[in-house]
Amino acid sequence: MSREKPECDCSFRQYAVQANPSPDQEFQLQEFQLQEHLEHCSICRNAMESDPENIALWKEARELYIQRKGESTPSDVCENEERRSAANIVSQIELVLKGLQPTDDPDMIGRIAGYEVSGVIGAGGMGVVLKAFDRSLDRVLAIKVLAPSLATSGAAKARFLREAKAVASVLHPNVIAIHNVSIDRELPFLVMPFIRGTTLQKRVDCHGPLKLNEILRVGHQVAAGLAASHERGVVHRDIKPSNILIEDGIERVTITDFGLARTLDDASITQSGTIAGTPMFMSPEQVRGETIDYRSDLFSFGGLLYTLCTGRPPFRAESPYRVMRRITDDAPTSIIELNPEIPVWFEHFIFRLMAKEVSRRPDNAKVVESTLRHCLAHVEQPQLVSLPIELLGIQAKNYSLRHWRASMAISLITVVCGLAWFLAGSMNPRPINDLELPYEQEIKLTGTTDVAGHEVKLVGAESVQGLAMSTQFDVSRMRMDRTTKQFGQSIGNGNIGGEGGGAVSVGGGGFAAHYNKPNLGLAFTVSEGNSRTNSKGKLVEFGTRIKVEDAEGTVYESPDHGPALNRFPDFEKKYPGATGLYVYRKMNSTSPIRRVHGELLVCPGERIEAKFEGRKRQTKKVNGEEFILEAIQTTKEGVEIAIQFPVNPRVRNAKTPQERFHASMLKRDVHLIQMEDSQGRIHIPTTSMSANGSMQSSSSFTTSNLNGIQRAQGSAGFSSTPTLKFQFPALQEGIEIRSVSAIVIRREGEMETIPFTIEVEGGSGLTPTAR
Amino acid sequence: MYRPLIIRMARNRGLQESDANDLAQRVLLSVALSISRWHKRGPNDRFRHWLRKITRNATLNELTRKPIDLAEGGSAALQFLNEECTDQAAVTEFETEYRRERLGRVLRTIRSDFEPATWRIFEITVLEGRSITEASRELSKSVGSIYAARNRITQRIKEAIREQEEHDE
Repeated sequence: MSREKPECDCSFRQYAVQANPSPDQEFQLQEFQLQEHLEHCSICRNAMESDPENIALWKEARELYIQRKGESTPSDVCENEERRSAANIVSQIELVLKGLQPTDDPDMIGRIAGYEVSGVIGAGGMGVVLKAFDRSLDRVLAIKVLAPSLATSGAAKARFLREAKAVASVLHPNVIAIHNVSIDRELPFLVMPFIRGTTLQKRVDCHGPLKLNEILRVGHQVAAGLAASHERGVVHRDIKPSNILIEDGIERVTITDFGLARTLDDASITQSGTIAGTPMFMSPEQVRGETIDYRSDLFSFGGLLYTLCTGRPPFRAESPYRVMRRITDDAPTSIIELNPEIPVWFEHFIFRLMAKEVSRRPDNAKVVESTLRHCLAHVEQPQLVSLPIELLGIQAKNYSLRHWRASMAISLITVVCGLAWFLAGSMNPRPINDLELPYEQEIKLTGTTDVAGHEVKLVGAESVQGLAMSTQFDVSRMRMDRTTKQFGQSIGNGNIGGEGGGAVSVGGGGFAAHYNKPNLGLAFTVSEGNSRTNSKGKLVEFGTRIKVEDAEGTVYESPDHGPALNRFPDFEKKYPGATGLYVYRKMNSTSPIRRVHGELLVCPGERIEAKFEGRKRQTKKVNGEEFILEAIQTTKEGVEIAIQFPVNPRVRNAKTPQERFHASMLKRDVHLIQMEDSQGRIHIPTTSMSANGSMQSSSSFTTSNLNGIQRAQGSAGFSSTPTLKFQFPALQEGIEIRSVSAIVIRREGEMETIPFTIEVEGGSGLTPTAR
Repeated sequence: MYRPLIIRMARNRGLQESDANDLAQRVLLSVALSISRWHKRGPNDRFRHWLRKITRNATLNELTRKPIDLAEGGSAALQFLNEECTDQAAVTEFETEYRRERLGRVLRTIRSDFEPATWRIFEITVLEGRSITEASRELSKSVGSIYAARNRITQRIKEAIREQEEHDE
């Protein structure tokens, strides 16, 4: 407690420190005393002004203020919008309530056409929803009164009635029933059953994205409701989460606000020339003001599912016009990127609904409903029910978002385990020219050059779009979970992969790059053939710096590493014998391509061959370094062959984590490891894992199926004695391992980089198609 | 908390709104994936410190590295998350933006605790950087009341920041 004194009393400042706004009198008084005191006491003022903490805070606040001045953050815009519409809604409610007739029941607030009104349930752009009681039938009802601003137009009223009649004819458990409609009063209204519950929008707002099975359960009901009304020729026009009621306790959903959106369109556009409400779930054709049919609802329904999956609407922007712009022009962000728990096939399904082009959407709501029902059965009993045929294999097949003129960043998606890829490799993917490309490209590039005895040949170029797939597993923790083989992990764009390496990591990551932009892809061959090794065991590879030069002399260097060809099965088929593919992202030259520059890497490799007798450890000396090979017959899973590498001195001598990290980048690669059994059959591994299991070891593994020749490659680094273990398929009884051979590459020191240039014959450019 | 901060940094580097959004999403996703890797190593280890560090590293890595489409898996890639960023200026920028974001949040939260007139005093004297006498003239209030109000808000901000830090523990 402070005592007022004429001279400075520190208790004032003490008091100020604890001050909180409080309306009580004592506080008011003391606040006043404090103010009086501060009016004159320079000691206290100085103390406040020179407090370093205060100075720092004020400086920071001021910087913040300057930085953000004039910048209207999206949330501010939303708040303003909300405030404005809130004020609007309040005035609407007042208007509606004023229009009620008096009642003699003290518990009620008014009467409308004989219904006793007990309260307001909600209000929106369309009107006000009242809770009412029907005395004659003894039931609780919801009465929707058309907003006074809309009720002025006679045409709107007539439309309101017509639509209400149409909806009333739809009898379906997932469509709101219409008990009564009245337009002869000043304010037209609809009488509907009262549903205790919430809307999907509120559900998402409160609890975030729904679980997949919930989404499917809700989704198929909405689709069923839509199917029933579409059959009656009623298009909803405003499908969105806030128009779907979900009952308390049970997961029964009801579509409301049926067909009323059209009334809204008429009235609001003619009156002010602006769009009322949120356009977030509108279809592109709706946005453009074209005639719409039931398939517009399917688009909005896709948006609704998207929202349930991700917790946010698909198209967001600062203003309604921007939103509309995005609806017509942009692809929504990948669902999986926002919620990795959503499976690829479901994303695919949603994006099909949200196809910009009407004809690419599913045929009708009935089909959608049965697909969703099928999906639900699959999710609940994956052992018994497989996915619907049209979604089956979405993860393995050439998964293309063909409808999307994608503006989103390349996204990487979840992939299946290695075995699945092996299978997928033999599947029949959609041919690449089936893809709808925003760029048309007719490229027939050929050319040859001689690089240090290797003939490098440009064999083809094409626009690349679709899925680039690799199976690269981080397998350092695979031992933990080998039987389940849960590789599939979603990943972001680029380097950040699944889980691996750390002590608490799980499984591994199977990766795929999804190229959904038109990219230029170039394919090459090297004369050394499939083995890509020369007589000295040197491995010949392409460099990562492939550039193309157009006729105007502009050089394009792709930001991409070229993936191995096998990740584009279509490409591989088209250019048999090709050994490498490079992808140029955003290559938008319209001038013919004249030259291709590249680098050929020749790595010093050592071929190791170990003959096995029984399962003894084999020590192989190559160039004075000892490699230890060991074969272990593991369980029925197969044969495991371990290669222990000589110590990498740079890793061991590293003093700082940075040094160690860099040293670890100099990995030992094992290329073309294969095992020959006693019957002369060649086997390649299915997976690999690092043996040390220590946090410090890392390994990666790539398998590929290149032109029918399977190869495997693994790298190990970081650990002081890195060991790679390769898992081979189990051998039949009585069959033994005869030998194991591999090429071990040391990616340091003597690697040669030989630049080359290929003069292109018959170059052509990329022509943007009209869009 | 981190999303606006990452978006802001990305925007400062000339990225478009939607690209910045995507980038933020990627960073947060990668951070989310690695959250399970945290474990307390010492008594002074704080989850939020760690989270801030890896978010910072992931952000700066995303912002500085060249786009590479092909995912390269494995712990070597994840190592980047823990790799200290060497660009000291960018680290400082992240920390500054972090503090600003936190302060901005606090200001938004506590604003409603005060009368608009009181808040206006804070705006004039601190945010707009004008003098006490100017504020007193503009609002026709006594100098003493201006001092008192500014102090009250300042104390409340400090308190709110402290509360938030404790809450984060």
